[in-house]
Amino acid sequence: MTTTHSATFTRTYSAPPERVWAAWTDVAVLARWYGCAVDQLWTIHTWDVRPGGELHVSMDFDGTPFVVDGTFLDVDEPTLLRYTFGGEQVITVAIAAHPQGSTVTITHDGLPSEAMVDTVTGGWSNSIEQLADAVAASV
Amino acid sequence: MSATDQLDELFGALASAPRRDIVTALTEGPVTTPQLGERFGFSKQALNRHVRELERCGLVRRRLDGRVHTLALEPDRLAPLTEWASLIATAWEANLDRLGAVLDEASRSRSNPPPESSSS
Repeated sequence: MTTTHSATFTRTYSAPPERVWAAWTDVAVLARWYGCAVDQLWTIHTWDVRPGGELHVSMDFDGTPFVVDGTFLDVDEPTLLRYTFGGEQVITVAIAAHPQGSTVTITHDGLPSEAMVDTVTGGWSNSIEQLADAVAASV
Repeated sequence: MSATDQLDELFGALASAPRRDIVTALTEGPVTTPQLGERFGFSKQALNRHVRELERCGLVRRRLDGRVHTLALEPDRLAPLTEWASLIATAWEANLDRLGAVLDEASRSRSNPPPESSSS
């Protein structure tokens, strides 16, 4: 059995949960920010936000289209969105009300990484912890 | 070999608790095969099988000193894996930055409509 790894990212925004929800579910808005790299956005082909609904996104990878398919697992407006994203990866978006607006927590599960990666390199898990610390300090 | 093939090979080699144990043990320095076998209770055959798998993706190097096999880690070989992992983290940070910018923009235009929309 493959052991998988998950990564969590948290941000607090001044917008209320309903607006954050709209930014995740309204394709016109989503297409303006949802990407796979610092400078590359996904092209959203299908984004059918309902349990069992499908999603298809793609990007141009040096002239070759790179396509990712997935399925929405949980849809609970405006607090929870969970979808598969290519193979075993599952992305959970939790949106919670916060005195300043809302807190968004992304959990990216099913990453085929192992605990030993941390042991060997210290790199990835450290950077996630640093990110968490930086987020905590900036909130 | 493409970066994706390299990743597949690394993930394949590491998709096994005993092999991860071996790699973790080797982070402390080179170890002989009898020492490893004793430490983890592997049979000679099982240990050989795991080591061959780790050698195949270049993560572990075997050196022969007479009859003793010494294993050492090649930590650089993990680079594609950690690069890939950090890409995911970078992508999410960038996404959450962009989401913040989109939300800010929308709230600015709500509280203070831009000239082109307020002039109509």
